[in-house]
Amino acid sequence: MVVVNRVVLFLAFFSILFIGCRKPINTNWDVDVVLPIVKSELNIKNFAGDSIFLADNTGLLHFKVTREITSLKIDSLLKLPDTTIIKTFTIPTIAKLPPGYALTFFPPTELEFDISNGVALKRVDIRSGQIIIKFMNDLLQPLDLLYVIPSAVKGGQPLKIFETIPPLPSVLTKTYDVSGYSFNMRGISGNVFNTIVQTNTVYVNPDADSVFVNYGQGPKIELSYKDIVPEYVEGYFGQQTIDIPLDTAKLDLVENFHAANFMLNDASLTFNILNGFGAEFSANLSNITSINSGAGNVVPLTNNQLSNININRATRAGTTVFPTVKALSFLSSNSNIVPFLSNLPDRLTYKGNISVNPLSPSNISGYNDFAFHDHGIRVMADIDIPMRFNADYFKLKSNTAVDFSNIEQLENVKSGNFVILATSSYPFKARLQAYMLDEQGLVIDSLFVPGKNSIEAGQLNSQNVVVAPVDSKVLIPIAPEKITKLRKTKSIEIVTYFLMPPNPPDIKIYENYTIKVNIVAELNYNVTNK
Amino acid sequence: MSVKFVRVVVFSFFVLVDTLARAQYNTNFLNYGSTGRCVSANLNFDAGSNGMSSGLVNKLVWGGYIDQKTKDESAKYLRAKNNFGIDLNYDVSAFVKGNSKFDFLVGFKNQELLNATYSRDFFNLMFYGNQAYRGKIADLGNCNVNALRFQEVKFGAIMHKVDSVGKIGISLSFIKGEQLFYIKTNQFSSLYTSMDGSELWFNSNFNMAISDTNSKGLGSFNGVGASADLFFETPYKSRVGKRSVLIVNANNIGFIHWRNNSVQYSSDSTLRYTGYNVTSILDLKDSTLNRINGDSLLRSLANARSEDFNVNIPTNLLIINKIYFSEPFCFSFGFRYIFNANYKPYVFVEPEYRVKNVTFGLHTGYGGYFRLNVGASVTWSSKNWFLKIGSNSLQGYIVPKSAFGQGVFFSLAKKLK
Repeated sequence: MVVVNRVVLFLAFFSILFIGCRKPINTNWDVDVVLPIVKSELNIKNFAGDSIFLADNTGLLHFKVTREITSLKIDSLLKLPDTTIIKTFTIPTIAKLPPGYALTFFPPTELEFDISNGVALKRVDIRSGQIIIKFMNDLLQPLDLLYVIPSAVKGGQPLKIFETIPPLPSVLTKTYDVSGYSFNMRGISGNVFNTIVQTNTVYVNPDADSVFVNYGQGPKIELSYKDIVPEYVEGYFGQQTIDIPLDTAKLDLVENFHAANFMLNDASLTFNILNGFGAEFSANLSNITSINSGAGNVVPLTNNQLSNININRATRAGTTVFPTVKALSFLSSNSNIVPFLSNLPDRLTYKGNISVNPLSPSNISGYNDFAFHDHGIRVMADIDIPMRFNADYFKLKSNTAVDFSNIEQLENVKSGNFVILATSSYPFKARLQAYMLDEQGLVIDSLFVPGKNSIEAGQLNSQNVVVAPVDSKVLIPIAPEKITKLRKTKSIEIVTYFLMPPNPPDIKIYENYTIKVNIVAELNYNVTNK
Repeated sequence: MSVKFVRVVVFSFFVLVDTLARAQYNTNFLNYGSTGRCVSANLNFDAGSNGMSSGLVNKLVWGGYIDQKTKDESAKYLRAKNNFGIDLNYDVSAFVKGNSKFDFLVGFKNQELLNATYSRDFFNLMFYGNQAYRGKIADLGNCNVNALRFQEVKFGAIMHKVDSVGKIGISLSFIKGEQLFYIKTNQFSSLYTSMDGSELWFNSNFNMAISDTNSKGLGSFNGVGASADLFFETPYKSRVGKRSVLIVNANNIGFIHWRNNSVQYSSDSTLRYTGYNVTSILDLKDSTLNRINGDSLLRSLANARSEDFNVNIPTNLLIINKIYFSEPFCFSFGFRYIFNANYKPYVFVEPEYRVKNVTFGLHTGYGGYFRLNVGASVTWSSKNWFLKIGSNSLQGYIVPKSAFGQGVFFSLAKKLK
């Protein structure tokens, strides 16, 4: 027994000792590795979105972009004012009325909306709006009020409001949503406009006691139409002129793009005026200038196409609208569009006016003008710039958010380079710099080495056309202190200067031009084996 | 508990802390003839390579930074094909009384086996990187690395009076697999690095198996298995010497079944890697770099499947013939081979001379993981204790820059009645 105990003790003791002898080991050594990281292409389309660049039949790229300059919606054309009326239901006798007694001697009445500019509406479909009613009752017993607007129909049913009005001093105020209702604005006779019909019936509440009524007593309502936004209107929109004050439209053809001594060879701008209203218009536009905020340059557009522009009415089939389009083209032959767009505007100013129903007689449609909420007048600028130009250089900036704080692969890098192997078939040289920015947007450090950060242009012929691509190598040195800064980086700003070859002849950008990029890591890396 | 017993425990503690050792040749039965019933602690460490210096092996085993000088020391001895092996085992075991003819064996053992066959280019890629291989093809064909760590509980018995003089021992072990890493490249495996570094061409043609990388350490249970040890010893009359003893031992005959969190990779194609494709270089983000890691690269290069599979444990075969020319002096010659372990057949001779209770031995052998091995041992056996310390590879300690084998073994046993 003693022997067994000793055996067990021995075995247990040495087992614990052996377990304690196990310890994790960490062997590490340095290796020099070369490893491809990324393969990609850099294309002019990357800076602006590839749907903006299209090639013509010679392969020359065109920069095509459409921007909305201004628009008019239904609320610019006509305004349905907030309207409040007070209606009293005076009982014209002295009587004692039993519970449930109905007072039916209030005739239907009309409510006319005061709409300016001679607008005469025969139908209004409500997109959104409210009726707010304040109910008052000077009798001693509660009254029931049934308020019906036969002109307002939704789903085949008229708008009905039924409330029990408590006696004074209580005042009942309720809000009713009239969205989706279609209002017939022809009044009782059907011969007027902007007018709805309403009916009222008053009852002594069935649960009330008999009530004694003096002459002149009765319920009173204060009725307000508020924030009415039409979905559809039909009628006559009057003859009016809508002023378009001087305003600015953002163009942003290419963000963060600057050029020196830049002049296009050709360009065109087409203003397309889309009319989605069922009414005739005429327009005058002026003060159209191109503004380059960065350079502070302003170039006015000189042309005589912009006055007395007649625009036909849209047509429709049911709720489908077919807008009409009036196109005004500005070419190098009829305007100064080339210097206008060579200014590389980020903003464009405009001013003008639009006249509704300018023709005579003005009510040419016979009260069949129409307007839908989602359709109106839009002025679109279609810009076409063939990529053929003279310039000294471009400067492009792009900013990318990054987070390298948790990149384990950088942990064991002791030194080395990221090598950018570029094969360029663009006719200009690219000088790169990337700045590491912290969370405040302040520069921590740069990535490229000045003097060793250029991608050479492709080989050019005498017409500045690339005949062969050229290889370049750009180094990004990596050291532990740079990796530490990289971990603190929240965004990287890449600034690229594209240096043009001597020109004329014009520099042309063809569809097949590209820069093929391989990023290779040449690193001294510490391998750890645990 | 007696004072004497406490002294024994303390002595053993210091001895064990100070040294690493194991039963020589990784077998529990070999010393039974000298110890009889006993409780023993055994440690063994063997390491050798015909293509790595002892300095490099020590760093790989014990940890540390491998500097350029250490790498260059090994590199100058590289051949087209090189071997490497490390065998580290420790156990506690006991032979306890059965009856007059046999005794029982019980033991706990930890085994760590690492062996490899590798080409010169494999070594250079691993320790220097591929920068020097720009525009060149690195030959990775017919290389393999096999790393295994497991623990076992052993139960056995030894019959010590077979035909009144012979001994037959047998044991069975239940194995807990802790960690496995296995990779084998086939004949045409190679890596080409383009001159500018923008392309890597990998003729993959390899198989790889890795146990669950999320489960590591002594407590991990990534595999289960079983193994057996067989031992046979018999004296016989020979024409040479006064008497002879033949010993045949085979241990680690078994396998481990690795569970389905283990992953196997295989690939048999040429893979061209040119970096991750990004549509626009301006869209390059930190997330691209995150995708570039060993696991994702391996998954993209090879077919990976999580499944369970079996792996044979490297089996150790030992044959020793001892010739006693006189009672103090005997001369042994032997043969050892480890299957599935990149081990070359090993032949050795061991003269031993006994003075009273102490036996001095020399060891000279050829093969294994190195070439020529020279060692020595000292054995002390008294009525109550047995101690054996030695090494079969002392050359790595004496001339470490030119001789690449090293090892040490230690056995301490408290004899029982």
